[in-house]
Amino acid sequence: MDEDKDLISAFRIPQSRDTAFRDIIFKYQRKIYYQIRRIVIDHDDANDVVQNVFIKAWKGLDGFNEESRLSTWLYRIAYNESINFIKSKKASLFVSSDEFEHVLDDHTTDTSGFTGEQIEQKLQKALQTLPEKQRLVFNMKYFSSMKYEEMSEVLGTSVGALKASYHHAVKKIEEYFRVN
Amino acid sequence: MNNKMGQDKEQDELFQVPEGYFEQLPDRIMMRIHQEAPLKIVHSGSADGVQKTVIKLFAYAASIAAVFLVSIGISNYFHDGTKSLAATLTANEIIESGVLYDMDESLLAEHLTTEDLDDVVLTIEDEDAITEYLIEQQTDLTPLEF
Repeated sequence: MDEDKDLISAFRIPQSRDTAFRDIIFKYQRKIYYQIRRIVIDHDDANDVVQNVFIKAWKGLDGFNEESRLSTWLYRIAYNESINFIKSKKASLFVSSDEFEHVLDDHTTDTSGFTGEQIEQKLQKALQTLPEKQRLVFNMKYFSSMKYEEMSEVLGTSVGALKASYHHAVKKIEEYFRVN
Repeated sequence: MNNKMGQDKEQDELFQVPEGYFEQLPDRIMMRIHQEAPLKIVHSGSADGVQKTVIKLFAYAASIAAVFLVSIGISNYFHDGTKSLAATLTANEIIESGVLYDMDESLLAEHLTTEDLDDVVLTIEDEDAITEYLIEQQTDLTPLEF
């Protein structure tokens, strides 16, 4: 937290701006990348989105008021960029949400994108069956171990609703594992 | 359902990434940032700014020139123009032209001589017009006693 404050302060000094921002990227790139990857699934798409996220962060960091944590702020940008990307991709493919889930599902089945463990593939396939919001909440909670309060800030949803979403997501995934 | 898949899932790389991806990513991002920055300046920054400033300066200069020319025109009309008009016209011509209604009386007094006034032959209409003018000017019409 203090480290983030130091990085932000260094970013606001022209001489150390580049170095500070490079450190911010190093610190958060993996967390942000995987958060995006779990939403957009494809690596090339995630690569585009993660770059856009950090470019937006570069442009907006001077105006960042530090009311929230830097990580939360970056997650929020990543979430918005990912959702915008999904929407634009849906629009460009002229497909419905259900059809788009099948597109993602095909990517998930492509084993070259995974480490190869069957259970992980199965979990990813189960996630593709979830509604968008439940999938996001599950990803944030389960994979990123994010607190509900932080998720609430990122997604703009109440803690109670997030807990309910996570509960529903877990039930559906358990059901998917039981049936398949 | 607890986090059974791993301790720190964002580190476990459930999804594969190309080798060396995270080592190169900061450089790629910084390169894009610096590529976009000069473009931004060229497209929407200084060039446009300079153009706008030049256009504004021209507009200011044109406005100042226009005001200057108009003021010269007005000045000539009220001074040189009226003087030459008064100097070239006879008294009757001045009265007939109606210029008197817009003219400063002091300017008239300056240019009209007694001889000029001898030439003036007033009709009843002229007298009515003069009376009307004097009433408008709230002039005391009580006959003077010498």
